[in-house]
Amino acid sequence: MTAEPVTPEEKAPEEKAPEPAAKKKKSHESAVKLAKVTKRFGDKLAVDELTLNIRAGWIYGLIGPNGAGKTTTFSMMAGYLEPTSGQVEVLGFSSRSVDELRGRLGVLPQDALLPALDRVGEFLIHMARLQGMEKIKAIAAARDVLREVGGLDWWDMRCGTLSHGMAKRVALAQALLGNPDVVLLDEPTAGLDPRVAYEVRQLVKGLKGKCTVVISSHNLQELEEVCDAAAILDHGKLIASGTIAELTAASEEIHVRIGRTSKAQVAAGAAKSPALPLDAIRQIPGVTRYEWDEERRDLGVFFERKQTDAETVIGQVLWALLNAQVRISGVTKGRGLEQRVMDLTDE
Amino acid sequence: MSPATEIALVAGRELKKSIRSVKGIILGILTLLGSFLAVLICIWLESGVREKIGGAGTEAFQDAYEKGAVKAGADPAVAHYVAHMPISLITFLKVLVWVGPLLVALLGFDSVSGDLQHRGVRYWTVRSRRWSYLLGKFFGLWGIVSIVTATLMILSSLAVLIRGYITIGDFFTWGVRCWLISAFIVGTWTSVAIFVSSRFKTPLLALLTTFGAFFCMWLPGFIGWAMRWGSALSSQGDSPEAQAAASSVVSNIRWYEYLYPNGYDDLLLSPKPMHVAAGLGACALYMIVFVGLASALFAKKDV
Repeated sequence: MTAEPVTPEEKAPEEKAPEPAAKKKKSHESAVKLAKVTKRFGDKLAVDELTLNIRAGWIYGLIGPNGAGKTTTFSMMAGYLEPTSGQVEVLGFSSRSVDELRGRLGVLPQDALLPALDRVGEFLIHMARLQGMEKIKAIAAARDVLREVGGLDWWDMRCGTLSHGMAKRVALAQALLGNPDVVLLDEPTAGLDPRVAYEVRQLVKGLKGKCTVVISSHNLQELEEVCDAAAILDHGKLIASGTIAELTAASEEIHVRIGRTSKAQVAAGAAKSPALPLDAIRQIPGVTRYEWDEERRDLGVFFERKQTDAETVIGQVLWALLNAQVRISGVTKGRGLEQRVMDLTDE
Repeated sequence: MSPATEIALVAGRELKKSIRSVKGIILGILTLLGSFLAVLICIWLESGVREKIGGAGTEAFQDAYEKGAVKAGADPAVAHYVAHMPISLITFLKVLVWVGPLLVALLGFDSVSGDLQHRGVRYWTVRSRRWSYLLGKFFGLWGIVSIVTATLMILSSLAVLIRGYITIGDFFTWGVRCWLISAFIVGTWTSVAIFVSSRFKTPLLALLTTFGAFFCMWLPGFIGWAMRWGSALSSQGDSPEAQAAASSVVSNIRWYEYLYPNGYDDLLLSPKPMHVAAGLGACALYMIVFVGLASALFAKKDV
């Protein structure tokens, strides 16, 4: 959670695409709802009675190891796959109700190739027209989203000649066409170089508050940075779900990485391994216990969230450590999503 | 958005894609070369018939033509009717109905399977009804093959027009009718090709299966033809009319011969409205069954 917030690129008002004319609305708090959804491929059970409720306006992550059922769940939300049993609803409609969801659901599928012979602009215009836009509006919308992903220069290029990163961004552009209410992104930054991945992350962050975003990804740091909430899947089952703060226990524990004393400091008379002020830490109001992992040099401090908050505890723990001349390498709230997923999907 | 608009958008894109793809261009060139070959055959055939009847007039020519057609298995009524039609145009019709399935198979095998293979179809399924996507593919393929056959017809007709074998009037009456007949027949092959293409994720498998399916469709036609010739040979003592009737598709068509769409050309050329209606009905039924089945299965398919 260290990235600086970046304002999304300004859009030229005259080139903004108007909203699709006749969106069929249904009032609801859940943007995406899965009720006891099961998917089998022959004998193989890919998703097992999964129930999820993704609130409108959230950026929601689907997390899990390979074979956890993320992509299958994602594909059912997008209507690519039909559940063996259970119900998948997007904006109150079945995920296969194309007419009702036209222009309201944008999807970035994983590994779906763009049509090689189509020019980028022409492809986006075709997609926009299928969403019900008139030709002139479709052109404006296509230019709008292509600018948003930083690819306006590619307008006349054939999709088959784009690099992987460029193709990914064009695919992302088609998902954002017409400002959909729900955007599903499957591995949006997979295979992208760090700079482009960063830009895509900023773009996704910029969607916050404008629409509901569901992201399936292996990149847990990315999800932790971008998402409001997430579901952790394993072997097709829901292992845990909740806000990122809940999942990482960010409001119940902090972790301090203790640095080693440098040779120069030892030479100057400092202790090689200064003793940690564990008693002082234990006496901080609200702190219930601590854990010191010598090998990882990680000090975990657990507290009662009703009595105090993470920021207060961080300040007091750091004060105690600095007074004891302990070197500090880093501080995190909670366990980190990665560690949490490792703990939950360990077996 | 109405399904008709979706279909038009998908079909329009399919047409554009086929025209500019390398495969489409090569096939187009080969088809045009083939059409010139057909013209050469026509010229050779027509010159041969004219030489045979010597300096005799049009009536003698038509008489020789009618007898030849009956001998080749045409229905006597149809043969009499088409005897007024230039040999060139009926030859072109035969070429079109034979080239049609080949073009359909080569242009259409990856029409849907290509999108399924790399999951490109996913960009469409969130925006268009699956059945209208499939219908768009069907009309797009039917359209592009019909455009190629129309080009072939026009170029070939121009060549024989210059040669003096047909008149402009012949082209706009018989020529257009021949093309329409070939287009209806191509529609039936297209429906089967789209059905097969929508069932496979590997285009090569779709291509092989399309050829296999087309062979299975040709086989009943061939069996019917062999049976009719068998009957004709066994009725040697009968009158020539009886022999002709026994060997004719129109008078003696068996139910399974309807499985072979190229056999409908005699029905569609017939002067009798019932025959034409039967031919058109068979074409329509073919298309409805295969496109309908493909749509129903595709709607349930995991993409």
